[in-house]
Amino acid sequence: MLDTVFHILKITVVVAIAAFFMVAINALIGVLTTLLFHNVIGEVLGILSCCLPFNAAAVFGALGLSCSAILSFLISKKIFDLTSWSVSTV
Amino acid sequence: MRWLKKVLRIIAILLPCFCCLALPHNTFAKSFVINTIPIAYPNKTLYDPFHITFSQLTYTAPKTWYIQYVLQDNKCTYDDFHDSTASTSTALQMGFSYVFDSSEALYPCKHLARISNSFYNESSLPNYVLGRPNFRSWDQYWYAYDGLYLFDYDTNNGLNRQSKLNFSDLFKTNDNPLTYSIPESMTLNTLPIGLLFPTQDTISAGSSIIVKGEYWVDGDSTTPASYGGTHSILVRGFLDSIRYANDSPSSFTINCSDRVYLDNGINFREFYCSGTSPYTFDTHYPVGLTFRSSLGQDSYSWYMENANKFVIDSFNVITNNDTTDGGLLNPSVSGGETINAPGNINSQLYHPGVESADYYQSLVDQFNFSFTNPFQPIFDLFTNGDACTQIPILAGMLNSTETEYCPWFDANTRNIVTPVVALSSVMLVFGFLVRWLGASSGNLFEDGGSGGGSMGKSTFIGKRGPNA
Repeated sequence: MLDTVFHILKITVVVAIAAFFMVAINALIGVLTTLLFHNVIGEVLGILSCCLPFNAAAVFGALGLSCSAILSFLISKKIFDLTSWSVSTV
Repeated sequence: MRWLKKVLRIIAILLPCFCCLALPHNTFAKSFVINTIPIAYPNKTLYDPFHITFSQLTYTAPKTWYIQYVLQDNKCTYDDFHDSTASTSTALQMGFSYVFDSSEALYPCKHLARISNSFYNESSLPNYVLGRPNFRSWDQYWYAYDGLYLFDYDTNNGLNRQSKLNFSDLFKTNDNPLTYSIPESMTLNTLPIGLLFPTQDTISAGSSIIVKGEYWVDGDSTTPASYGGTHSILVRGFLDSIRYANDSPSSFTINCSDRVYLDNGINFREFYCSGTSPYTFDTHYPVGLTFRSSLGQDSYSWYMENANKFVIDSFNVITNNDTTDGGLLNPSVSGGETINAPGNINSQLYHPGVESADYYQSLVDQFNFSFTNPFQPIFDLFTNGDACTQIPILAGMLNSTETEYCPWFDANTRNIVTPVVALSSVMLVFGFLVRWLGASSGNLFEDGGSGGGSMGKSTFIGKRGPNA
């Protein structure tokens, strides 16, 4: 019983850490985007995106969201695994 | 893999909680559509006060809305407001109409007016004209407004900005040329008309300025000869600031000659003003026109109709080959530039230094760790965002006045293709992830397993197998 409760608590903490990392990764992506594209490069890409039949900014926003979700999931998975018990037998 | 299923189950349960943590304002507030098409107006009438109608709003009555003028430096606060005249309602269309009354105190940062909600029968509106109240004078200073904010209010968060209306957007129509009227009933010496010159050129000292147009005078509908007096155009330029005192040395007057004619019982007056600018104006800052008259102001309403017919020729003199009307109608312009209407106002032109401040502020804003909705990019796929892209830097490099570039494809095509492409791409990315996870879990209990790389080697749970 205690084991189960501890397991649930650990998963909850890991999920919270994943959420935090997701926000942090989104912020870093936003900073990188601002640094790289808030200039003439961004405007040229904006002109090129006007030639496309879809809204490239929205598509890249969705891709960025999926990448940040995957990254935060992998980080939390790593944390989970590092805190897991491993029993080795000789 | 059991632990993975547990994690995914927990995430699925907690998913709605992340959405609930989103801040209330500007998260799902996509339901407010401000009618950006000017209200249809008849050809030669204009009344004060004028209306801006916000149509297609979705909200639950009763609700109070607030409007605030936006100064170009956005330094206004919300600590003052006054009640507007509420409109009665016959519910045919959701929305409300805000009445800008020129008799109100025109304090620039205190233009926050509380409007009672109303369901408005738009067909019952009089034929008001959507004007451009972008110049105001108060306390001997001029302020040029860039637009207005629409707020609502709730007890938890106070005032919430829902949308912004740029005055420059109001005049982007498909009509050629753009037309608008300046709507105020004025005592001319106190509420001047304002026009902005969005030219890229500098009005040099000594250059000629020619302004022509026509206006309509209410009141006497019988004899045009009763109108006399002198008329002039007062030109005010903001040499280095958006504010300038009334008695600034950068204002000068050019005199007008005019002609009155009677049409359908209404007197119309055409004017032709010519003068020379004694100052050099950098037109990155607003240069405004004020129409002044020495006629009595109490009885009549003045306005400048067809302001798009103003011809600003700062380099050449307008010549006219038509000798029948004294040169007021259908002039031919030898060279120079005809400005139909200042429809390409770009507020960035007025404050070149603001752009760098916005850049650093946007960097700082990225580290605002308020927990907004992390799934907003998914919702943005289905919204009709501003499709046109702003290219002020490229426009400056190419010496072009067009700072906006619009897509080749129409909105209907983009609204369908965008979510399809985006969701397909996201599914593809997640497919690779699942494939990788599956490969790594297949070699989970093998020492030195090749699947999954380093993650496969380090994620041993339970007993290790004997070394190979």
